[in-house]
Amino acid sequence: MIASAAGQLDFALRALAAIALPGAAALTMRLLHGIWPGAAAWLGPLALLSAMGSLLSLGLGFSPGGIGFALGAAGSPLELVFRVDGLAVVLGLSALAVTLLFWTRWEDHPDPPGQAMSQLLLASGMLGLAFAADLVTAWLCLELCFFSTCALLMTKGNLRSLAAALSLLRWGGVGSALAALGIGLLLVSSAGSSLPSPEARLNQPSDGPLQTIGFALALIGFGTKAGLFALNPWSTDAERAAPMRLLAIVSGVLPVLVSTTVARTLAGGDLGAAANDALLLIGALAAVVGAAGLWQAQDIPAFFLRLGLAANGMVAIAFSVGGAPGQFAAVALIAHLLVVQTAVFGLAQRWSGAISDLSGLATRMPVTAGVLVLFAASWIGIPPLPGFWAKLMLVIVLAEDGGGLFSVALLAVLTATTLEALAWLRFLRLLYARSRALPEIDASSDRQPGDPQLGDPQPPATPVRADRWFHLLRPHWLDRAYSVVAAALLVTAVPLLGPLTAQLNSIALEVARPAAARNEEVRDFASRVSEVGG
Amino acid sequence: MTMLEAQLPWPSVPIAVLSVRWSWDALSPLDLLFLAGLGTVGLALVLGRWRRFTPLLTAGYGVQFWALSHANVLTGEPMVASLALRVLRQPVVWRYDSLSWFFAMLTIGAAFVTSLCAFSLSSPAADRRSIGIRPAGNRTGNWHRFHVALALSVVASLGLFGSGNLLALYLGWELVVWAYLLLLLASPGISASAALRYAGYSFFGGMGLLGALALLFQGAGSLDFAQVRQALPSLGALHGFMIVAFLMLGIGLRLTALPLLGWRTGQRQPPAPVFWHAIGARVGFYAVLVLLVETLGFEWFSGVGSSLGASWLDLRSILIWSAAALIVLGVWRAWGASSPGALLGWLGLGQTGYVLLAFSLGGSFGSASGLLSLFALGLAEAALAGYCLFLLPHATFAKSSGRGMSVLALAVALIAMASLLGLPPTLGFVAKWLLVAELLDTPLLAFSRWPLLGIAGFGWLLTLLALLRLARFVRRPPNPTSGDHEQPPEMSHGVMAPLLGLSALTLLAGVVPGPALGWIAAIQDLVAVPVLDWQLTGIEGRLNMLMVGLLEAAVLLPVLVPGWFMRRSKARRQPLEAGPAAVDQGDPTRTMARTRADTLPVTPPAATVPGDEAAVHTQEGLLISGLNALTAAVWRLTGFASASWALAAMLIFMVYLLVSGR
Repeated sequence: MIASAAGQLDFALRALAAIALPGAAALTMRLLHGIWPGAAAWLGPLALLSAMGSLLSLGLGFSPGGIGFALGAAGSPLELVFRVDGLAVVLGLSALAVTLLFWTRWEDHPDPPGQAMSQLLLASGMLGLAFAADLVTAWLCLELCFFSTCALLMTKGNLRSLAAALSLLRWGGVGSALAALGIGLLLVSSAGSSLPSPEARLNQPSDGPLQTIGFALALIGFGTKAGLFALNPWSTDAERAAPMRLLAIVSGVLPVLVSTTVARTLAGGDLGAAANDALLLIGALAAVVGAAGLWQAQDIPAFFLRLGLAANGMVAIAFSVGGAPGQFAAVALIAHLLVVQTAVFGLAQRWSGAISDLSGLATRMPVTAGVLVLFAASWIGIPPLPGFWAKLMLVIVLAEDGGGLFSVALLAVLTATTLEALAWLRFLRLLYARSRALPEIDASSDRQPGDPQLGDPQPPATPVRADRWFHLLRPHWLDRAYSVVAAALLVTAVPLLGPLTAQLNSIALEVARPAAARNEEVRDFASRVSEVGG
Repeated sequence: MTMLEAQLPWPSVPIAVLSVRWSWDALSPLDLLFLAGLGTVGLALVLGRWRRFTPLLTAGYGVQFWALSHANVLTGEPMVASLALRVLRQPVVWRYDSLSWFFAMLTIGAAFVTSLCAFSLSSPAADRRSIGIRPAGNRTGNWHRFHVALALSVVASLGLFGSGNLLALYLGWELVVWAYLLLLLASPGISASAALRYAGYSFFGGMGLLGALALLFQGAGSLDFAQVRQALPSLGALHGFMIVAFLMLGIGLRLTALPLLGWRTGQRQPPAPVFWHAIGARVGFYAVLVLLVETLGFEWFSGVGSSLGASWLDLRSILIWSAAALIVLGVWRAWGASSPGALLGWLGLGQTGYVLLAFSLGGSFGSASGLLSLFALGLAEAALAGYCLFLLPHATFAKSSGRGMSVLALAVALIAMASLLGLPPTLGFVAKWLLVAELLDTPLLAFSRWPLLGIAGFGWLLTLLALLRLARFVRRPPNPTSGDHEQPPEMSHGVMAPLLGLSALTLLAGVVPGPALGWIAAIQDLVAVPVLDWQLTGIEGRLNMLMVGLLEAAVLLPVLVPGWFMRRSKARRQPLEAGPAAVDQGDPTRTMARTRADTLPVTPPAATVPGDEAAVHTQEGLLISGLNALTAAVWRLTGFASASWALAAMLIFMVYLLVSGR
């Protein structure tokens, strides 16, 4: 608990430094690259590490409300409002760690400083998104992320990546327009409020029709931009063109940050049933559509991208339930998603082709395949792995809250989980195929090549394409090491479920705090900072 | 912070808390049972790699059986384990009653026999003959995995049978499914893709169960069996229908009931099929009894359709007729199966239909028939699976020549077949007799009893024909000119001993069914169905198996014994007439000679020659095609071309929500 105003100011400055460091490094990147390319190559990781250090210095033992602060003149409609609490720090650290994990490594790029700049700006934007305390701030940070993603999509410099970037720009533009309209409506609808600041007006409890429409528009806009919900057609192009490191971020940590921000700022039960229904509906759609796309996926990037879409849909459903139980389920799902999704993408960084290319991989890389099996088991929810508990909590929460749309969401979760399981099992079956040939992915048959019982011919004795692929498919040792650590985390979490959930519980309580209480603290802190300044 | 936590009903406590309240001095037999199970898993992990330690694992199952027999739950009070878990505010406890005892007894017994078979099959001699687990690489590693998977399957099943509430039931069944998957994957006789298919369908069923569980929780506010039972009358009609639909989907998939039987695995090589046929394929009946009979009750189950305003929708009748259809389909496919393994698989499915029919009929005789069938089928199918699949791991009816069988072995197989058919004086006869008696007596069926009896009789006839095909095939001596180079393996004592034990038990429990009927009466008392009036030799005033056995012996022995001696002398004469070379090739003292029946061509029905595999693939192909179409439609609806429409639809829905005042 930080008691004094000076202490709070120091705290806020350190948080701001964490946000600003990657951004500042991005601005100096090209200049430094012109002077000293070797140093520029290390600037990005160093900036990210420094930001992580700054965040870690804040510590995780926050008071319930955390610390809120605003940038800009008091009363200005566009001042940036941030809040640093336990969940924000954890999410911010995750964003930085994921960026660092998927940092470019000894690979050939047409424009290395441009790539590094975009990655740093993306990290900065994600960090701002993690700390954003209102929709305007979140929107601005999301725009930063959006343009960085566009730039990263274009770094390959080919026609396909250009098309993907254009698609993202087009749909992102629609999303921005909808989000801006929604935020505007929210501001207008609360204009008569007696609350002193716009950000507080945005968060005020109300059930007015304009607010509901505004929230819905903002939600769709945010979702479209982040590829969070079903309105993400740009992701179809992106999965063909983007490198896996970018897909890992846009399908994992970025949607998580968006949904958390939306849930924290608006959907904490303050906007009434309609807002929660909207979030629930979009989450259910995303879960089913992601799982259906997973079943349809023929390429590895598409498979993992849609996996993230389905998981993020479930996170949105959990947030939509409202109250502490829903937030608890959402936080548990997020924690599981961040660990498993990053590890899976880490392993798949060099797997950009068809899923059938992985046929027989387990014979050459048993550890990698075994780790993937563990991740898949946890992902689809096999007891007693952590993923099972997270999904069970979601189901119980939905059942506890009763019928109506919750029953629809329950059905969506069960359907999505079944489709995920079927898709994963098909994927693993291919991984453990005994033949080194490249069989077609056809779940309608259990015929194994060379099965004498079914009259198939024996497998060809000559080497086939998969043999040549294996050395190209081997993940980098850092990714393998990280995946093993993540697998160990999953296994260790099983006996430590009690303490872990106690920790998650405290984070969930923070998310579920009423918005009015948070606004009060922001005002209180602003007045105290003014006193210090005076 | 304190106030905030106080206002939150949930989750102010961690998701899962382990509570252990026992000390070494106060260990109950139930605790010992679980500890013995875990100890066997540990032994399998550490020592399962070496064949010489396999008897230790068998002894582990023996210890489990000892602990189970010391848990006086069959006639006494239910026993609660000291280990308890609190998950999502729900206590998860394990308690054993007579029903748990019955299923646990079957499971441990099956594991005991399977372990004995595995010991024999892992011998170097069996390896030279390519019997049992035949990996391409490290053989010991595969046996290691098999033993670990078997021990895990037993522990998971013991947990399932001790479920104290719905959550424990779901958790236990999930663990059982994944442990069985490991067991199937550790048995190369079953293709890995078939095992994964099993996992896929089972997981689908698990989601159905989870849905039902969530809806029950929604209605009752608890996952406790008793509270759920109390809350049933207050559930809405649609709510109740959804629960039943989810339950039927989940249990149907896991029981391979119609029309959800696409995942059937093709077992070919022992010892995994021994365990699978003995209990694995029917473990779902525990859930049927606990959920449909004990918790929900068939009356409520039947009334769900009426409460929806559709009096024609009698879900119990649907269950009964599904079981009847399953009987017909299973035995029909068995009759036309292309290999002994497939024949046994389909036959097992048909028998599952009989068990489902018996449980669906309910009543004193019906429930007794179902439970007794589980016991009888466990004994008979395990013996048949172990025996026939040992002799014929890769044989097909069309391509392979027959196998010689010793007289003793043939007797074992014939007893098992007789029990499957329901011929006296085996245990299977008692089960079938009870079913027929229920079909004739129950007022529930009215006129429909006659078509059901006809279907049961038709199933019996086709079972007889299928088993005759199998018997003819295994009695044919090997033909050295057929191009089939597999020599008939010699049955070792290690395999023969447990199978002989199973057959002896089938006969003994058939002649003196009293003890088994006593268990069943205890279970009927527990699940609140009319209790069977039993005596040591059968049903009081209705059936005396001792008399049936004596009568049968008096009629059949004067016919069979002279006939057997005549055949034996003929068999000795034939090789001598053919010359000394023929004597060297066949062992007349161990092998049944070719008879006129053996020379008859084994002709499966023409329409089903490719048979079972193709049928399964067709059914599954349809399912997969449907799934493909559905997912493609969903995915394309949200794709690039349709995204704007999806966006518009979403906005319209928002407006609707707004207008409707939600």
